[in-house]
Amino acid sequence: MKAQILSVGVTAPGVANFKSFKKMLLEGEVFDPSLPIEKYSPSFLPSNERRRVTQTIKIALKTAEEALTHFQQIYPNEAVNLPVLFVSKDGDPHISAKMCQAVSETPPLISPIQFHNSVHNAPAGYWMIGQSNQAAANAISAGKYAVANGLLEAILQSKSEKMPVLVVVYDLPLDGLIPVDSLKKTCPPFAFSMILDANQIRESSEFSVLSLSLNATRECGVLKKENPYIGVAAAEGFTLLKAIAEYHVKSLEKPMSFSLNQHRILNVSLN
Amino acid sequence: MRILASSLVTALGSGKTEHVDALLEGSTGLSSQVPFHSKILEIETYLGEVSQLGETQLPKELLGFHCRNHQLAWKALQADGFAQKVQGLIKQFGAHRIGLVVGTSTSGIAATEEVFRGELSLDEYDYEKTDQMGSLAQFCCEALNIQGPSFVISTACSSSAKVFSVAQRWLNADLVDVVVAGGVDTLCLTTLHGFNALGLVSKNICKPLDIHRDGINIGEAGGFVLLGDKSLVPESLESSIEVVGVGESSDAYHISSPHPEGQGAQLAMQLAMSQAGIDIDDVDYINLHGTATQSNDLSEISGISHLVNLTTAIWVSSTKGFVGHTLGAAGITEVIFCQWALEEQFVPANLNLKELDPALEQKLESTFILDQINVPLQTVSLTEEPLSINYAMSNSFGFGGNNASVLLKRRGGE
Repeated sequence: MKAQILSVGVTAPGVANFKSFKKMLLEGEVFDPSLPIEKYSPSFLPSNERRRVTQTIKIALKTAEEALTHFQQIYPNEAVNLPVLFVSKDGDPHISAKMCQAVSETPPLISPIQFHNSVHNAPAGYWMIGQSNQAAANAISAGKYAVANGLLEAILQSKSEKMPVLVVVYDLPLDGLIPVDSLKKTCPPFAFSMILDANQIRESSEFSVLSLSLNATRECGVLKKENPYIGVAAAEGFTLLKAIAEYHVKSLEKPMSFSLNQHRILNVSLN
Repeated sequence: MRILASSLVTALGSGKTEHVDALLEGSTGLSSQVPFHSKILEIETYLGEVSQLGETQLPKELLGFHCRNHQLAWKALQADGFAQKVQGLIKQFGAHRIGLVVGTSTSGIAATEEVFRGELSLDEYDYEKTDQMGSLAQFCCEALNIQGPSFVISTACSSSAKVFSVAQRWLNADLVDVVVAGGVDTLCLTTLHGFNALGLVSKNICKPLDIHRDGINIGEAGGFVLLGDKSLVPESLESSIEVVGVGESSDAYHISSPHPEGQGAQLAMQLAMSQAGIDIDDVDYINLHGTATQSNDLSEISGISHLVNLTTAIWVSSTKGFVGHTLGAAGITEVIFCQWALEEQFVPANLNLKELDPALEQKLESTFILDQINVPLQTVSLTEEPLSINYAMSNSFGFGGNNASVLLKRRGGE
């Protein structure tokens, strides 16, 4: 299974976009996950909607916008109303926690805006409104296996829709109120996006072509020293983005592996 | 791809026989007095609660997943021998050649609600296996021993209609031989209070399309279908119902209100029909999203008024009056209703409709097709009439302006 990468976006603490991510890597700068996320407001949204978006929605939209803007610059004649796929393990962890808290109080009051923002496809919904895009919009969760399932689904969707697909993988740490291991509440947020086309290879692409193959192996792990953002599910994408950024200067020794589930891995190489 | 097997649990009961009997009789599963009402004393409404769901026992090895949503998933997997049929296919094809894709809107959030309310102790709570959005797929894969690709779709009320599109993609790419597709959503406080805060919950029994409709009744449901291509499956799973089209679209209009002219709805229906290579004249029955809110029904009927023409004669009804709005499970519930309607040749009633809203009539009159649309007030059994239904389409629309239509065909009837 192959797909061409037409554009890339990334948002993480200390990383404003893919351009600065690439520069940091090539210049050997150290990534610092304790830095803040760059401030952002989705200017493409009508003001009513813009006021209502949460931190989670903003990260997803920012990363989506980066990939689309870049795509429009490189391919000004291509259709921009692409189908989209948003992948997130937990959706909006802060809203979920706030709603659960609200229903434990007397009287239980949930804000209507919070409620409609709580749906897993809220970023997708805002994106389509802001882009006046009536294509298919999907929002999925594959638990911790976000990267492999997101890539695979985006490529299959691109094939079936016969056009490029915008995929955004984003995750925030869980809310402080949720009783889980504190590491899950303090790890850095991470989001990345790609526009992938499984239908044709364009000659002048600045990016490489992804080759995917499924293999039966147990889960594969990621080492902390290889990935400073390790924690949320989307952060597994760091390895992939690094390989894409270094593609022209360094070739991969072996394919990257991302777990599809407990039993299968997705091997990804760049050519 | 064919529907090789299905299973459904709603407020109407468990499995095909109980559902078909209730649909034919026109008896509702909605009630103003069920156990869940004791948790929402502030809200007066009807609910579609699955009876005695809380008593469902998960097997020992799956106890970590314990929450209302997974109890319903388990119950639905046992209905009509569904899980056994999956085991048969695993023997034939191997566990990694079966995929699983399921829809839900709120997953097991009820478990976290209970923790916050002091009703569940922390040592009985596992966020990752209950509330976490992907946990339904994980639970179902472990329950069925499926090892192929799997994930959860969560696009609010269109979630478990969109699973059909994923199944098509997996089968077309030869990633798997068979797909388990489905959806589960259960009653929880955030949903009840959230819809109530939006002013969308009716204190009466819901009345889709009626002049006096004033909102939704929330229900819960769990349903699954087995999807595959005919050439590969054993004869024991021979089925006459085929999924011939799936259409997905976005309104790009508003985060929680549908497009007033039903543009997205229309687009989803058109895409489903064009994938099947048919047009609206071929469609015999549309199972509406039909939530009974003012805006949904107006939007959906507007969408239909632009599609239907003078040569069409079509049945339309909403089955929300039977089971309520089962949210993330509405898609799978209503596709299975369509499957059974085609198999048993009946058109489900649009319960609680006394007087068609003149605003809807006006929409239909504006495109001169009021006489083309037939809304059955009682379930019509076609075995006694010289008519038949061969194509049925199910609509599901969700917050975020997210739409999906699924088109089914009965083999043999053209």
